[in-house]
Amino acid sequence: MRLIQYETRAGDPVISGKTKIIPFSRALNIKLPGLHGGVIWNRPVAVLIQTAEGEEDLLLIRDVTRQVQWRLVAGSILVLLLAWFLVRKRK
Amino acid sequence: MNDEIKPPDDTDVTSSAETLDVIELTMDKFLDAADVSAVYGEPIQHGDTIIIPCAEVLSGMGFGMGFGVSSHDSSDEEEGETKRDGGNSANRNEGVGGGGGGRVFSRPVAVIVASPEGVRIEPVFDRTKIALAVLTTAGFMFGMFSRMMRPGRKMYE
Repeated sequence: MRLIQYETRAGDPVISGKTKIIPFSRALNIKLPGLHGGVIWNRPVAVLIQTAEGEEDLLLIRDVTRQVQWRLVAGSILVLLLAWFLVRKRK
Repeated sequence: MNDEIKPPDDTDVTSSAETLDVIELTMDKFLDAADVSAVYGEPIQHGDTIIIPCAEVLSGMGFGMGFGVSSHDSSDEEEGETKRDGGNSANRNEGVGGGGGGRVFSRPVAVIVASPEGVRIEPVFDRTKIALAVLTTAGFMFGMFSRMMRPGRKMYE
């Protein structure tokens, strides 16, 4: 197994009436070199919908909580940078 | 004088091999966290509707072990005089140590709802985590603002 593996996997399809739902997940696997251990980060990314008519649709799974967290961090960094520039200019 | 260090006997090798087998088995189970089944739960049937929960999983694990052998001849405290008892004068000290730990975090992300009307994804909004993130960000920004507004100190008078 490589030190860092980033792969997308498909799961077992789920049948709902005439619709088939195939789940996909993405896993980041980091193996600690020389040691028995590692870190795995696994998250859902999308589901593929297949209808009986042969139509396919890919629905992305959005992590709303994570998006809000990242936007908070990005917004705070931007505000701080702006404030720092303004304070420097005033001095 | 014979300072031969003997390799560990068969029982030590067997116990080490068994320990390694346990570690390998635990690692295999740990690697199952990278599988799709760890992220998507079992579908729940409710009438004509199927509900599939999905979560984000973060897991970390580590093991380590060591084995050490040391030997030294038992000798009198008087200098230059050693006692020998049938050639097996070495006091053999052995030590085996090992440890490991791990942690798994799981957080719900969304719920997939499959009904006769169609399939939709309902995201899970974790208010607690958002509130914690807001508080942490506010505290960090307040601290940085305070540092920026503080008048500069003179280094040398």
